[in-house]
Amino acid sequence: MIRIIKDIFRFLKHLIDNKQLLLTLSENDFKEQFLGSYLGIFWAILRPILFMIIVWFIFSVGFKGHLKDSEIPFVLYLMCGYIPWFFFSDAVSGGMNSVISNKYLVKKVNFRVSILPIVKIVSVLFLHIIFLVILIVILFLYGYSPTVYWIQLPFYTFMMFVLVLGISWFTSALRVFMKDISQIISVILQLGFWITPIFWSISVVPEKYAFILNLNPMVYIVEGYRNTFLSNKWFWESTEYLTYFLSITLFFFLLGIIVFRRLRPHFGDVL
Amino acid sequence: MNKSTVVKVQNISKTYKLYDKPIDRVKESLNPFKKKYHKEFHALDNVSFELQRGEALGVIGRNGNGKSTLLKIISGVLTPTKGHINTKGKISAILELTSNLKPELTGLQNIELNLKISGFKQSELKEKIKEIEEFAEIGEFIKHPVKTYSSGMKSRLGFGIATSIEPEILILDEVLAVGDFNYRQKCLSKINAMRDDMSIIFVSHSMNDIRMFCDKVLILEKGNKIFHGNLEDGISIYLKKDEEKKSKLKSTLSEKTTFYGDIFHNKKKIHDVEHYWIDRFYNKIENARTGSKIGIYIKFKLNFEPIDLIIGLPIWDINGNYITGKSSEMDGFKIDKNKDGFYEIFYIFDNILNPNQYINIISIVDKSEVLYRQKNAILNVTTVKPRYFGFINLQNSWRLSKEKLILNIENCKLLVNYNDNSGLSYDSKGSYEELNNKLYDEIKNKYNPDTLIDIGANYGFISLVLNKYFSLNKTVLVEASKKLVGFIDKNMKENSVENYEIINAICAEINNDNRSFANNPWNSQDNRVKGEKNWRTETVNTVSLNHILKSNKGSFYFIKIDTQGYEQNVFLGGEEYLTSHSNWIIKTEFAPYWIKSQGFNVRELLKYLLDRYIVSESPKRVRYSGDNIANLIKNQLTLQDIDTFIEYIIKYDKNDRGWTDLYIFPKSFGKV
Repeated sequence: MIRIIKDIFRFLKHLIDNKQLLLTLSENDFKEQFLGSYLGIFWAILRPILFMIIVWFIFSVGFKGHLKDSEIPFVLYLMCGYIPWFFFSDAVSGGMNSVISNKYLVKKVNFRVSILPIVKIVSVLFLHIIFLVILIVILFLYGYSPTVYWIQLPFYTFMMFVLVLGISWFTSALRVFMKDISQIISVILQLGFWITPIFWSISVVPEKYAFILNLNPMVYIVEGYRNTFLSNKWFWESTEYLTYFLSITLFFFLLGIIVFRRLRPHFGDVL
Repeated sequence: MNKSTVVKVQNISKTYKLYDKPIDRVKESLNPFKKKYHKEFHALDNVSFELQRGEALGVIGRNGNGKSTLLKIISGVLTPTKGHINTKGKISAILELTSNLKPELTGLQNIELNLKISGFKQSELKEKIKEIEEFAEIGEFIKHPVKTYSSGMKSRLGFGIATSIEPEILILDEVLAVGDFNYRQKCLSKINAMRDDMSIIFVSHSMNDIRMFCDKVLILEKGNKIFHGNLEDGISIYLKKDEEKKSKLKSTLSEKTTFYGDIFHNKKKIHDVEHYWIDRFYNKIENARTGSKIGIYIKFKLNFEPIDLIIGLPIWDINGNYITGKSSEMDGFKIDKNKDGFYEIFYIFDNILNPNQYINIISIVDKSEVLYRQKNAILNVTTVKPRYFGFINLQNSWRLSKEKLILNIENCKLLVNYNDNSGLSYDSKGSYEELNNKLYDEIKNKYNPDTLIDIGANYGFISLVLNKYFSLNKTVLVEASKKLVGFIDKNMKENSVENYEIINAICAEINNDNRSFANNPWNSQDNRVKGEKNWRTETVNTVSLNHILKSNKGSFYFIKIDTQGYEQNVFLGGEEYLTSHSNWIIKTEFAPYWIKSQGFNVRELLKYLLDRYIVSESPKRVRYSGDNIANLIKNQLTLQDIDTFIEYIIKYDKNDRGWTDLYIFPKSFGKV
């Protein structure tokens, strides 16, 4: 355990020393995804926006009066849920493939393969930032003005980052040896979209089931984004749920580190 | 780790676990009870060595013996199953040519990325990028994705990057195997320029590359280190091992890759075929030295009368390079059978081949019908020289002036005239029969000659050599050409021959007479006593062999006669002494063409000699000879033999100018 902690510190130092490299790699990854096409980054934004418009249309025009007791406009409610989820789902599936799609770097001397999931997540984070900007613009359009609660946004984003990183270390290492993991993850992500209160509210679920749904750590993040922008709540207000989230994140983080460390020496044999 | 050690490999083993299913690997590494799910393959077994700063280590071994695995472990791509590895300093490795390039990125982006991964700062990038661009010579393509590159461009870029990141340890896995000559040169010179502050680990199958680069050699066989040390020892061990393996396997990978033409044997027409490599004594050999005289012996019998029999002897090296090919037809050599009905061919040449293994095809063709085409045994050529390059060892000389040249032949320094064919002939020869001659050993041991008489001394070369063989008290050199006397004198002094006497005279039947003597017009020292019409003549004193023998008292004489056809007069002038004493051995040249040109009868001369002495052919040709004195005397010429012998010598050269050396002994030798 002490070795792992030492390794984490060494790894952090390595990250700081090589932040330039990390940024370049992420930048390359980002560009590579979008710059090949004519409309470039427009596609990256269009897809989720379109999706949100459809969901908004269905629920505020089709099934009217969904969030009766709330004064919060549905669009904002939806965006605060979908934007972090989109980051999560994009980063988890990208992170999973980060090792396998960078074989040439794995075979490189002096290269820490463990930064590859980070590279991917940072690359997805660029897009996330763009969405956050869009969200803030829309908030302004709806008459919202910045509150002191907004400063907790980095906390939630960072926590989500750590959660995704843990999961990605775990899945990316497994992915090298197991193709099936990508199917499993895509099923989980699909399921996750529905069981996470993105376009619905957790308050509509009966108490005894809500407890099960709350096991999903993304509930905490999605709610956290809403608390930041819409409900003006501090993240420490529900201590219980914070503790649960922190422990599950720590669990994934350690699981990721242990599995990655164990499997890393065998990458070269397979790739 | 020692201060100067940059790589320390300790008891490294790499076991590849072979899993039936990929998931088994995961199950195993995550299994808390360490259950085994695999079969094992040992790619490396307990290998240890150290690499010092600035050292270049060549790793050799056949395919699949763990070379690449070792390099990958050192460069950190693979993790050893057991053992430790410590490295000091930045490592750059080219394991697969393009392994450091990402196909989707442009050349420029790839360069930048690699530099950043290697820790270069933004400020240093520009200059480095320029350096790599210049090396790779990709031009406009540098702005296009690497996947659009030709393989040559990729490898140039890959190599340029790997060497430009200022590595302290450079690992190269057969990178030079691809690419044209210019590319290789470029790579080599780039590496050479960096040699001083860099250690190199280099894998290659080309012993020439290894030799050019490396200080030390590591040989891997089936994952085991079987040798680590000195370059030349390593290479010879490897070649030997290689040879053993090949003879075991009979057909090998490297041989398979080369097409030597169809292998064929028409057993109905040709049989009892035998062929092998021979040394200059016609003994069967498998190994030869560069610079020696060697050959190929072929013997066979035909069931029919051939129309136009031709033998072709192409030679390849083991890497499949076609070295040379000669046929009897090209040289105008006519193949005839001997009395036993066998065809027996001795193909002799100066071995200028550099150390390597050579494959030779024996092809026997009648007119255009192939009768036989088979591989000869492999010849293993070695050398004692510390270094050599390329395929062949040119018979060259280095000169500081146009007029004179000093040759260094087996420790004899020989000064000769450059404008002189016979002087040059010393230069171009690859080997000298006079050297390492078993007969000389025997003469020295049995008779211990103390006086050498060198008649027709030319530049004195034979005297120099024989002074090394025998413990001589006196050397008498007789040379008719005034011009040569100075050379002889210098050569004797330069090689510190003690107590020599040079007589500027023609050795003839009368002492102290005058003779005319001719130099030929192209200034060759190939002197003829009776020259042709337009040859420049001069008058020279004569000296008789009797006179020389009487005025140089010795216990045993070795007399060498080389007078271009004037031998009869020499023998006449020595007859009195030679017939009445038995403390001498003569070695003389016997060239029917020249004897005739001096107006003598070849048959008469031989008959004259046979009447008085024992005459044998020196161990140069096949018949009438032997490689020791007892055999020479046993095989001596008889009167009945004379005509066949003369004809046989004459025919040795296609222009009927064949010649040989004769050993002449006193009659009393035969009675012992």
